[in-house]
Amino acid sequence: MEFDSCFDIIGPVMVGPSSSHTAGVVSIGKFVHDWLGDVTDVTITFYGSLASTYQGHGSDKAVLGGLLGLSAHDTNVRNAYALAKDSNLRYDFRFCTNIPSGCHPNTVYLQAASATETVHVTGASIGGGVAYIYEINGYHTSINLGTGSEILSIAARIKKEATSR
Amino acid sequence: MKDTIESIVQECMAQDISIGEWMLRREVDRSGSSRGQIFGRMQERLQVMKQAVREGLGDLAETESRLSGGDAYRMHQYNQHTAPLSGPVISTAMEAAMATSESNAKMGLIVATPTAGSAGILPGVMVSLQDNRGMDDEKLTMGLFAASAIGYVFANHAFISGAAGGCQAEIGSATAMAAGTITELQQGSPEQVSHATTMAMKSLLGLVCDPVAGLVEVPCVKRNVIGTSIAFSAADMALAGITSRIPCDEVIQTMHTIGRDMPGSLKETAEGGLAQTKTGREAAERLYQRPCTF
Repeated sequence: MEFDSCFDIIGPVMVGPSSSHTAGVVSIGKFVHDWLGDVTDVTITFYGSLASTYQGHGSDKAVLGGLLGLSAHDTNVRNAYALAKDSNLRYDFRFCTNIPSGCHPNTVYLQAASATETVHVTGASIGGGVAYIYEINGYHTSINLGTGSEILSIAARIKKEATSR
Repeated sequence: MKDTIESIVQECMAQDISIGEWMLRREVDRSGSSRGQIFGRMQERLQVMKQAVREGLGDLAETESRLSGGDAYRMHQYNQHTAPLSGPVISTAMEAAMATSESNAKMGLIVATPTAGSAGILPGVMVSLQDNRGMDDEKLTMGLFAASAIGYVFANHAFISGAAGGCQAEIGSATAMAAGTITELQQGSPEQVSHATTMAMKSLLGLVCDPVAGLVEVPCVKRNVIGTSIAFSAADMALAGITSRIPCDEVIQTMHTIGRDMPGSLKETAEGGLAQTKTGREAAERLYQRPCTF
């Protein structure tokens, strides 16, 4: 079930302006941060509705904020570009207004690296601040980043499962 | 997903509990957290809502895009100095909804109810019921559980994001949740809650998501304001004993079907509707020619 908790509906507590284009996107970025630790390089591809309207929704600040380890309720998300500069995070945005077949309109693809490893993650922000991770390094997944999820512990658990595969 | 509005109403009637109580018990069962912890978390959200309203009412500034901002203050001044046609209950809800939605547009801290784009309606209703009907925080918190039960069915049987289902999925769901919640807080039966929810949703079916320049400002802020009056109208009808001829779950299913059929240009892509008016296109061009700030 995609929306299971009462706090998926009354929540998240978040900085505006859009739960599907801001809050959920922060969570996808944060998942990658919590997987890698400090991210040094990232290529971010926004698809569909995110590619069309990211500027107005602050989705670019949202994904960078998440990649820097911020949560959706952190008002510092507004300052993500300045924070990225301070942290020497190298980023490259790509935009594709077509939606890949079978994908949600708000899909994001992240190719990210820390000093020691690389990860490829596909996720979607499905509304109400809820995000899903659908693919990691070519493996299909179905990870619910619901509102109030402990993303750090989810990322650690999935990574442990992946390395034992 | 087995829970429907009908099944929840039946369970509530069989156990003689409110819809809010049903959702609170469900959360205890699914999460393993205590009733007190869950109630406390919900009450914290009520406080964030009230804070966003307080901040928004005093904030005269426009947003960076200059497409919204300052209207909550204007609404508040009007309400203070005249006898608004909508009466105190609706006019208070209107100014509080506007304050929240304006704050959201400025990347302020809000509670998504169920989304950020529709975050004004439920807080607007809550603040008004507190100010005008003396409802305390505990009672309003139970109202938020009722709202989440309704939204939970909408989210799992249809959608709650404009990108997936158009504005009917956002403002529509939020208004329906608020209508049901008002009805429950006014001692309506679970069946009356269901009818209020249905009548509110029916009046917003087909609403497209067409934000100017892709921003959650035009027409979103004012749709939040007007959503509060639809919610109170639907609740008053249900409390008068008026019923919807089409059952709630069929209306939710209809919202889903309409959203599926809606073209992509009208689902938050800013490629149709108001976003593509002459003025809407000019606003988008003006904004996206700004020099890079990074």
